[in-house]
Amino acid sequence: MAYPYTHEREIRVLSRGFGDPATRTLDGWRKLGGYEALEKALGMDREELIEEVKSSGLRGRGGAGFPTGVKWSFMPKEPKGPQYLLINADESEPGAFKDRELMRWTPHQMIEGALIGAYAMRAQHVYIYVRGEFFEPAQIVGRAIEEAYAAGLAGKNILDKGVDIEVTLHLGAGAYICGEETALMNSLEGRRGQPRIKPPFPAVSGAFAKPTTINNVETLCAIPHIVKNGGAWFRQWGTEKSPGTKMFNVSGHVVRRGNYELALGFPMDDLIYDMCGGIRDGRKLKAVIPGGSSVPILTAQEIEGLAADYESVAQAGSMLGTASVIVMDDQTNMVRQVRRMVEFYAHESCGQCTPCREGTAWMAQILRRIEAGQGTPEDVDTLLGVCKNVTGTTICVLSDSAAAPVLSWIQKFPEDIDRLVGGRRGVQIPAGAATA
Amino acid sequence: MKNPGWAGETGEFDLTESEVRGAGYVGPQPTEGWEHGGVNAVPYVHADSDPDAPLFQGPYRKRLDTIMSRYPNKRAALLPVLNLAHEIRGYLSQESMDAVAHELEEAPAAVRGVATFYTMYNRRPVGRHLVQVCTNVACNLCGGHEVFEAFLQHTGTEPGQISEDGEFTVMEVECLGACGFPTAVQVNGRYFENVDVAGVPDLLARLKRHGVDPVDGAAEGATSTSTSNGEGTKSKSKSKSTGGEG
Ligand SMILES: Cc1cc2nc3c(=O)[nH]c(=O)nc-3n(C[C@H](O)[C@H](O)[C@H](O)COP(=O)(O)O)c2cc1C
Ligand code: SF4
Ligand code: FES
Repeated sequence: MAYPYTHEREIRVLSRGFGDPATRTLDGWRKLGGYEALEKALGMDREELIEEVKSSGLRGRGGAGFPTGVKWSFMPKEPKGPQYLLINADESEPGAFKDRELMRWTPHQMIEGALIGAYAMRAQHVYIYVRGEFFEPAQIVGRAIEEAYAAGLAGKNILDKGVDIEVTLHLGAGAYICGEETALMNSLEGRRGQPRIKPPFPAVSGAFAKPTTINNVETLCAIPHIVKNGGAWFRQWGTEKSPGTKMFNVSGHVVRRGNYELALGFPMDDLIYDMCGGIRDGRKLKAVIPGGSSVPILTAQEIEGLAADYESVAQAGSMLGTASVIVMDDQTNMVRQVRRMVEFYAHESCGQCTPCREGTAWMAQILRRIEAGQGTPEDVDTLLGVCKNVTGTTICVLSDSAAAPVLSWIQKFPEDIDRLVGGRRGVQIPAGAATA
Repeated sequence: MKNPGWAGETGEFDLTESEVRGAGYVGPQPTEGWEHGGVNAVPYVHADSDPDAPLFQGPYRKRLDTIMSRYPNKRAALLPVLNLAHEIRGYLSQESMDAVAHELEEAPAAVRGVATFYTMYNRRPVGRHLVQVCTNVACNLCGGHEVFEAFLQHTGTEPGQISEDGEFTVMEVECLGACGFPTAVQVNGRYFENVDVAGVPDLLARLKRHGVDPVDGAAEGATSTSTSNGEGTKSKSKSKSTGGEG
């Protein structure tokens, strides 16, 4: 039984331990075949191991969907000094709550995946960057690390194979931006969590100016299964370009909110109406954010017949992101929710780039005015102008993320604009703007 | 008493709260911390902190040394060491930050510049229970803002203020990463899930009585196969108020 709901159409690979307290322990994880993949991996040639991950087609689960095996292959093969693997457990994207569950139920799954990755990439230290608020998951992961050390699975001479990998938990202190990979590296180094300009890319000069790879928790959780069963096995689910299973974290106005592990490409309608029991209180669907608050909003109509994989959602004008599905019913006050999302980005902007620092604050201010019924059609024009100016002009994509909900709302919910600012005089909606 | 604000109350779930929270697995937290990479896992917000406690002495000195050993340079230990100071005193004063700078051989201004970037550091004392209510989109859709208002109303405070009895400080926070269990509320080192307006008075009463530890069997009809370290109902001996003027 999973936490808090399960469904028979789920394919439970990563989540099979959810709801079973025993899985947290080393013994419990071993009973499910845990650490067999590590043993196998340490006996494999590193390049062969990376090829196996490549062949699985696994794509990063932190939002961007970059192929994991390819990313791993960027790391230097002949290290000139220390190399690092960082686990991105900063999960702060509004709507996302999958990494927390993975860490609290299956900490050893993540640690095993990280050890395999560190071996493949010749990294001798793994840092797990957990957002500061996650005390509970951090304690569970911390205990699991100590268990792994005691069992000779981490530290010096792992499993007597002559491989040394240190694993250290590192707690953040409250800053969404630290989830951005270069900001995370700065934060780990004891600095303000501000994104760095790329290049240099992390695989060349990352944490402590050494070659570094950053992976999301869920990405690494998939690794032991792929190593044990092979890349082809992982491809039995999902689509050609989006293979495998993925955690879908559903929140908002559905009857049964929760985490569901599904093959990528699963019908979005079935997720909402079958698994999650439809919209609460017999209401109707108004809108869905398919991948966390940073991606464009989709209307009920756009969701119909939509397959939940990276390509299909992109084609529909949004992004699958972290597969954090936020569902809104027909009584949702959209301007209020869009305003709240923009306030979040204004609050979390690290302040380095003027368009982001100023633009997000302006957007929040204008949206507050519109929400209060004091907006004008010119306000909508200004919003569109700001959206344009913060998209693609900054060091990281946080400001683009702030623009996504605003643009898609203006474009797709004209009745809101009519009602709130009394008409759309002068409002020019750029074609395809909401997909930016 | 009903067990308010626990995810186990929705869903097809029949585990105890301790089992869900992993209290039995984690066990009692050693003050000197764990030995290896788990050293940073010890909570740094709790009701027992003392604003006048000496920094980095006894077991905390040992933890500081272990933390330092996990990083390639001293600077990288900055956040963990700030966390440690925060845990000991419950907030970060100018003096604590300077002490951290001294330990790490960094300029005090550099440490302050970093500390002020992060939102979890309280820069003045807070109530014994720091109640942080998520009002971000997923929670807000299900009434997050109203829950926040209810906490303010029932504690008789303004955001960030300490309640008269020194028990509570209520704040609005961004997404806590528990969006499937709205409204998510963090109290010190513990999450409370599915908190609704009606459950707020119960939750405040529970916090006053039991602190944030799991209270197994308190839920109506819950089984009592507790795997916790049996400390669910322990009351904190040191109920020192951390100042009332806010
Ligand atoms: C503003 C911002 C916030 C991010 N937050 C997270 C996060 O909380 N967790 C995460 O895994 N990735 C986050 N990412 C994505 C990371 O930068 C990075 O792409 C990812 O961790 C790579 O891991 P993957 O290849 O395994 O997906 C964020 C990106 C941006 C721009
Ligand atoms: S876009 Fe915003 S968050 Fe990103 S680096 Fe620039 S100011 Fe910081
Ligand atoms: S929106 Fe409240 S926990 Fe994510």
